[in-house]
Amino acid sequence: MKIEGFQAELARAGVHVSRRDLIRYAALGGAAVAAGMPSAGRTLAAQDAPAAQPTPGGIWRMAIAGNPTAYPVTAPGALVDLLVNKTIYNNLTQYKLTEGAIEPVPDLAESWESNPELSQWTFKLRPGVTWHDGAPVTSADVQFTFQTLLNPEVDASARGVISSIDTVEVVDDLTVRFNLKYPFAPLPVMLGYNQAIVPKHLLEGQDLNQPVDFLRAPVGTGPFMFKELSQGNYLEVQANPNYFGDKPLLDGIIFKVITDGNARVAQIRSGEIDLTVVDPLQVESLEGASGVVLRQAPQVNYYFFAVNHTIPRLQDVRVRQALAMAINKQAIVDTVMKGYAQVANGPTHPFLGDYFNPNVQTYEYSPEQAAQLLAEAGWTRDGDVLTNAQGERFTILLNGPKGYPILEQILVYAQQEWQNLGIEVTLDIPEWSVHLEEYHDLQYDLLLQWWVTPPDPDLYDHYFSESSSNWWAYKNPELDQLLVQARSTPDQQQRVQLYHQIQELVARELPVLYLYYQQEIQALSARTQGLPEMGYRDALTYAEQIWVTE
Amino acid sequence: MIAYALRRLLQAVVLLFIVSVVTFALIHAAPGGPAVLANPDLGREQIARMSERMGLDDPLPVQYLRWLGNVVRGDFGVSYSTVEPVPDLIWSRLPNTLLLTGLALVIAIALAVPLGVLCAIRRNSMLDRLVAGFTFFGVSIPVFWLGIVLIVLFSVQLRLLPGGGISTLGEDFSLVDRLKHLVLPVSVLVVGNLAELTRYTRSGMISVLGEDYVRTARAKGIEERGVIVGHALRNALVPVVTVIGVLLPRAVSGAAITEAVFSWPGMGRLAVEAATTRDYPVVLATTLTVAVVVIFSSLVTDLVYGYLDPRIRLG
Repeated sequence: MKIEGFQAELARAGVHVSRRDLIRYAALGGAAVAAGMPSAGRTLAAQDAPAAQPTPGGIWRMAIAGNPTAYPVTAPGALVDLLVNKTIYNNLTQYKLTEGAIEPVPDLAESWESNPELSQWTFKLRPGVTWHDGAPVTSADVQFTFQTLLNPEVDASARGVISSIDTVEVVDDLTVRFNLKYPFAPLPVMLGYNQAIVPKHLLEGQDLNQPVDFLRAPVGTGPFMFKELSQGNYLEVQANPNYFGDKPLLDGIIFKVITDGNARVAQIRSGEIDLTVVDPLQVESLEGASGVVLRQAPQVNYYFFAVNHTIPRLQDVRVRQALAMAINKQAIVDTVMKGYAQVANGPTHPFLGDYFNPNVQTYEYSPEQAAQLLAEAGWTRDGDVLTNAQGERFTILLNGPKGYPILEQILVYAQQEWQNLGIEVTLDIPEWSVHLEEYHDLQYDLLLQWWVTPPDPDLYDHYFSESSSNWWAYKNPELDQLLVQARSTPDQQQRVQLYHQIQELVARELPVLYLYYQQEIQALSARTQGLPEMGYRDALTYAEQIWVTE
Repeated sequence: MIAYALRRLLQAVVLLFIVSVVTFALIHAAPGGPAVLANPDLGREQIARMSERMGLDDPLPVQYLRWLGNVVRGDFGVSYSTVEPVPDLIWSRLPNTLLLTGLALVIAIALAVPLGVLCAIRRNSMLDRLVAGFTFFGVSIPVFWLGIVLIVLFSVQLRLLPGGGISTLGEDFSLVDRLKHLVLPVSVLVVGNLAELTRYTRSGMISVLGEDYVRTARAKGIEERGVIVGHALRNALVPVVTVIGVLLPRAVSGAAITEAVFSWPGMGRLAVEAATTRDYPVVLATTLTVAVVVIFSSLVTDLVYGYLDPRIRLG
């Protein structure tokens, strides 16, 4: 991560710091500090200055919370699959943060260009790249991959990200062309977000939802090659000596399946694993532990209370604003998240630099103003009970997933605050899959969820009225029009302006109640070197740079 | 004897059928569907299409018969969550569990029987009270707590033993390494099993020691050791065998919590993970596997009864 990039970003956020401070901050996890992370008194140990010369060799072991499936098309295990796939496969592009902007850089593609309307993109592949089995990578593989991802009969999990693609044509062996349904400026960034290229010669003709034989020995192009899957135990990958990029330093990486959170903490302390991600409640038991380095990294996400917009009383913007004002977000960040988060006033992460609009409407904690707004909306207080003119009581069915101690604390806190306004709040905390089913079936009034999003400000998937991932039934023609305009505008400066407008609009209208951006907390073994300082989803894209001291 | 075994076999098939129907009904009655469908990254239409393609929109009897038809032809399906054939999943997990729980059971029996006998002979002695205290501790202590305490003590503080997994990652298989990984989880399981078995052996022994034939044996002038081992123990073991008959299927279904705490890739975790993610093919297969073992071990238990006490007639 570039120091200069941070400096620029901080300057934009109105924070002026010296370059020396920045180096220190960057080691602490960068952007978090920019938005006022409480660093004093809660300083996570910075990683030791890296040894001068990386030494090759060795095995690096990281914990994953579930059983991995090295199949990027469906990725049935979601996050764990994604982590493993980063080391085995490549995308066409990857992205990096430069001067506060997200910039796509070559991966399997070495260059690309679009027509002036941004509706047709041509990618040139890097020549001489081979699959792990020795077969050459050609544009036919790219075409096959995207045809598979877009095939309605295939359960592709990240289709929303590339929904702009209409057809993919092979121009020549190393040239592939994407014809889009509409102009789409961020295509090169989106192609770097979990859109791994898979081998046509091994998958064609297979059951693309359950390619059982392929998964016995998955083949990709990445810095590491699949070695062994021991069910429920670990997945091991070994260095690819023919990798087209920098040769991997490690001999191999082992992803160890540890489903129990306490066990992950115990095993990083006992030195049996080299990386695990922990939650704020676990940090205390790791602080000061010998051989363990804690650091935090920004992750492009946001946590929110989803609002069910089919419920009439929640369709009134004043009611949503009142509900937002009754929640002390700073207190949640300080007390529940123990500082490992920053208050969110919208869906766009400050990490996105220029695209982030810091000057939007905020909702400072004020139960009095909340009560006033509710009164304006026709909800008046009668003793302890909030009712409307028809005498109906204001009730909220508040949903959240079971087994997430932090989220449960937030749910109980929110229940308390809203009840103080005279609202009857019923908690519904079912297990994960029931929680999501109720989310998707709109069987909630408010619901605690989060999004981890691509490093692009596009909100189309979740906010466009007719989008199939708009789980809140939110409809706003003004926003729809802005969303379509912003994603198809070629001019960078204009795009930035449009996204600032969008953020102002959603901050005012509150399609959902924004809570916070969560920081990722990584617990690393002291022997780990070279893991880029970013969220582990992104850091593993650079798996070839990781090395270990013995 | 053969007729008896055949009859039991027939009963077993009917029983397995009933178990599968009940399991099928129960998992579909539980709220929430397969976790692979509950993915917010998939759109509404996509989820609907997947559900249809997986046959989850058909009436339950149709779904059941389709599953049964496949199973009869030897096709147990593919896991929704990991895209692996279900038999592969079970065969990769079962040996790990048998090693862990089997070893724990054998050690528990080897310790519990002599300990129970000693306690019965020296009732209310210091040893008896000590063992009573330990068994009380053993049955009441939560496995996840004991497991974590042992890990913190022996792995984190003393660094003597690994805190999880079945082998040291990145190293070739070695017996010593495997045994090291077994010590802590086996200890946790032994504590639980030992408590139960000791109590049963002790009370079985006490009641048998009051029997007429024991008095007769003593009156004949047989030395005490001969009375205990030759006459009393065999009869005292009948209730113990019953308990082992119950513990055996438990050994196959795995010790889910112990397996989770020690990252042990066994059947217990497989079953629990499949249940929480509503991975229907895996839930059905794990339940049936355990049912087969329950039926088999109760058959063996009955046969052992006949051996221990010839008055118990089979047939």
